[in-house]
Amino acid sequence: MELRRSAEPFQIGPQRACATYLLAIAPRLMSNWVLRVANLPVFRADPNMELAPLRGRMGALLPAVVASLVVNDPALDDEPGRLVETIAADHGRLRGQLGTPIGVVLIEFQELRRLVWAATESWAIEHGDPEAVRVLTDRLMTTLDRAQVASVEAWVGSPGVAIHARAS
Amino acid sequence: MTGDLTRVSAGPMTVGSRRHSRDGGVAGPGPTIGIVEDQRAVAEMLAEVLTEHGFHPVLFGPPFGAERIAGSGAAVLLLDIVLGRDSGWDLLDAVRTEPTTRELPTIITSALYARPGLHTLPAGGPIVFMPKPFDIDDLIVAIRRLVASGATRDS
Repeated sequence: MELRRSAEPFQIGPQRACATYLLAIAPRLMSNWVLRVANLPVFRADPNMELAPLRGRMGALLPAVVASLVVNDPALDDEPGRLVETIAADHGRLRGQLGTPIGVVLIEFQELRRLVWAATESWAIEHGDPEAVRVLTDRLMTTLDRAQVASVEAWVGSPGVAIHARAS
Repeated sequence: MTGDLTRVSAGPMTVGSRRHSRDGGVAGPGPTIGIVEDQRAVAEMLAEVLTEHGFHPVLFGPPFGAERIAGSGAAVLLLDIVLGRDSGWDLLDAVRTEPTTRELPTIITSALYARPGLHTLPAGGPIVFMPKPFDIDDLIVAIRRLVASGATRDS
């Protein structure tokens, strides 16, 4: 069985159509993300938190992630990918400054991943193009992994974050 | 980072780029939707989404009271059951006691909602349960249906 690289050049048509769909529903995805993340105990404990700090940089991250999907070959054009990393790092840094636990940051990315994956799957079902979605999903997961790593690294490096050694 | 949620109901409030009126609503032609929600971020997000869909959201923060809801002219009420130290069930009882809001269609939202049968629902207008986290599109559909049912009843 042939192994495919996540960065394989893809047939731009169907993938672009799916990416366009994701971009169109990005505000709805973000609203659903807010509803899920706001339920986490750490945010429920602060009912006066406004929408902007709760969203952090996720509202900017989602369109950047989708935009990075339609690059024909990320190996040749990594600018969109670097933008994703920059925004994700900003988000991690903001969360670190707020004192948000790192586990919560990871859950935030899991929720985003679930929502985008579900939307991609629903597009695939409607348009009957599983191969396009397979390639797109592969790239999506790679991009979100990269964003998550950038966010966690920035969280660790943000002022006020103290990493305590586990007591033996 | 945070603000006083009381401002949501008692004074001007900005949601996104829009300036809200005294009751926390945005001037608009659509039906008024009352939002009772103790988490400010969720209330702001709901107001944004409802405005984008042509509704006129009015936010009610603590202290929660049926009188303000009655005076808002809301066509549908979104009611979070867990309101910090307050109970949405008590507020629902009070809303259903007010003659002007007795028939107000209500969508009950809660992360803790499990079995509505544990509570005695007060008589009055239709009640829809939406456990959190719901899909925002499902909420819009439910609101439109309740608004339509209210229009049918009123005609």
